[in-house]
Amino acid sequence: MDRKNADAMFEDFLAGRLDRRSFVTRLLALGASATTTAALLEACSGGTTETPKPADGGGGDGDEHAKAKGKGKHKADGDGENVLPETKELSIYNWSDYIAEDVVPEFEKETGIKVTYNTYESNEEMMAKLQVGAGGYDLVVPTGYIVTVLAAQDLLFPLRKKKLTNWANLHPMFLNPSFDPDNKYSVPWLWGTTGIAYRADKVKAPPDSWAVFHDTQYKNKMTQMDDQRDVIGSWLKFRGKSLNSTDKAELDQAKADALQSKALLKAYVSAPVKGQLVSGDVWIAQLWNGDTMQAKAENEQIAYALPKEGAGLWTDSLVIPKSAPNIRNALAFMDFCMRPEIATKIADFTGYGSPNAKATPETPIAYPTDEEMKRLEIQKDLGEALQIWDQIWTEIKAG
Amino acid sequence: MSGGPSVRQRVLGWFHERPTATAWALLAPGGLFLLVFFVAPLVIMFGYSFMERGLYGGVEAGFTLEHYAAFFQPLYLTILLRTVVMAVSTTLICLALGYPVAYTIARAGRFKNALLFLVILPFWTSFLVRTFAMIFLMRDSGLINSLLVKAGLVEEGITMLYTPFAVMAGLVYGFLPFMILPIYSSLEKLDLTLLEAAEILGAPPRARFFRVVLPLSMPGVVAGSLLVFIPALGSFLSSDLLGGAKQILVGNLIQNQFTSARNWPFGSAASFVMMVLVVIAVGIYLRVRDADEAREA
Repeated sequence: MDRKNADAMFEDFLAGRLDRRSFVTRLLALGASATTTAALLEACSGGTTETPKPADGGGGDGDEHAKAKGKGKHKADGDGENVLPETKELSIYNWSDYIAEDVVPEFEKETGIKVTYNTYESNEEMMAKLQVGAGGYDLVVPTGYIVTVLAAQDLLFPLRKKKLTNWANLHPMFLNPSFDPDNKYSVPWLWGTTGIAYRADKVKAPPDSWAVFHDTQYKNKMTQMDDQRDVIGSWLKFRGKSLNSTDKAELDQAKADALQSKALLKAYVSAPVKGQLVSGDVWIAQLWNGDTMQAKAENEQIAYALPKEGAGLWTDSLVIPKSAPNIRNALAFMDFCMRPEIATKIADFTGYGSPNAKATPETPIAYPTDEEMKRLEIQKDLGEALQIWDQIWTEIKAG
Repeated sequence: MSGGPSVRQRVLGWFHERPTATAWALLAPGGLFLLVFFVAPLVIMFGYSFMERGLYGGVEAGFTLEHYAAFFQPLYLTILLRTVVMAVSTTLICLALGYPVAYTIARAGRFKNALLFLVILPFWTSFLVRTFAMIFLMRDSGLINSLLVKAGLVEEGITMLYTPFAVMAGLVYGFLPFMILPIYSSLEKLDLTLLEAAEILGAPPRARFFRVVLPLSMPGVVAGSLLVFIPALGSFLSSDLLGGAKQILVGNLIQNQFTSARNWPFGSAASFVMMVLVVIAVGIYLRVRDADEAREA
């Protein structure tokens, strides 16, 4: 075994992997149907402990405040006591490998705030925690369409933009997104694409189409992500359809394509595939551009391609859950990360595109060409159609 | 306060005269704990399984049986069947591997404690960490394959990771101690003079094992089998991480309902169906065993 790779990957795992699966572990300890039990248990406790809401920020945001009060979710403020409580802690829940290593320590040093940092592996994992009122997180990083879902469920705290002094650094292209009009809740964090990572030294020709996952010569050397949106979405794109399709016939075709490729795939695995790309166990993997960059830092032979049929484009954003105990510090951290030098650091480390106009990262594959940009499509929430998608995904998995 | 019995004595005296009240007082803490953290969640889950799905997760008021009906379609029954086969195989393999180990430990004399310690040792590390270690062992360029190649036994690494074999290996590895420990505990109590008696009465080794040792260790075998079978039925980590998420088990299905599918009522219904099936299966198992014992007696 390649000693260096193993060590690197094990470190990787100790740093992030353990945390992001801690949810799973906890459930595992409880056993089978306890899966439900645990979730319900949390729902139960979340429902009974009405977290006292911090009073509001300066009078400038009276509008949002009035609205929040109107929904009855906030306790009435004490007269004239419109201040967010001062605390010395901050709990961040982010995707794995999705920040530069020294950003949090730097923030802690500057502010004296103690940061608890946990990571997750999928939007759903994070969302399930917020929905049952667990975690006590102050900042989470959902993908665009998930911001819509969280906002619709009244789970987010409206931003106090007055506290975000570096707001002007953001590129207008990422402001006022369709998933969160007027950036009421969200600050853009990073953006990227879902394409194909490959080992240039192993493949005969660089893959330029999702069809590569039907190529029998790479049997058992390929992986797709363990995510129904990404897998089914890629096969919809392959047939020239929208990756947000809810058309039964289109989805059935995608299922057939997915089943055909499943026989050739080594596994459905998301971010952890990086280690196997580096070691050469996997040659072709559906992956995000930034994670590909991270793998490339360990093995120069790893490259990235956006399929000619098109692929997914997404923005992840910082949002503050309504139940957050340290809102003031969450806002401070948001502002901290909008500084050009911090934004640059984050983009450089993760390999993803920065929404910060003043950031100066050196991450070439983070930025698709104009021509590639035209082929990209943004994921939207599927609403009711999610049930059809899930049924199809289960059929693919059971097939 | 002069003379008369102290408060403590009076309280103890009160309980001494009322054994029933004493029993309730002793049961109360544990009972309350179970009520809050076991019964209440189950009741909530049972309620959820009849409610409507919330568009973004959670549940909405209503009453429907559709989630139970939905479970009994070929797609989910296939998954259920696969899960049961997997759990039964895991139990049988654990039994085959675990019995000799338990037997050896029970006969190991002064090494007994050291060997038991080794069996328990893996619990000091989280199952997740150990599963990741198995990924390193089994992947194409992993430790096992590089040793096999170096030893010249195979030309190229054999694919182990992301196969049903890997899932099974992970399950057996994870649950083996739960089989060994109960069997050990019944074998340890075994009265050796019974074996001598059997020998003197002319029973060959084979008969001594099958007619004396095995029947006497059955409580351990039954306990171990249940301790392996039930969690194996609900496991999802191994099929996710070692199986490459290519073969879905009921555990994965239920987990998905609470995350990506955002269908909590269906997840609750599926959990309940599973639970009822487990209770029925265990009930039959225990009844058959009791009938056996009664017949032999």
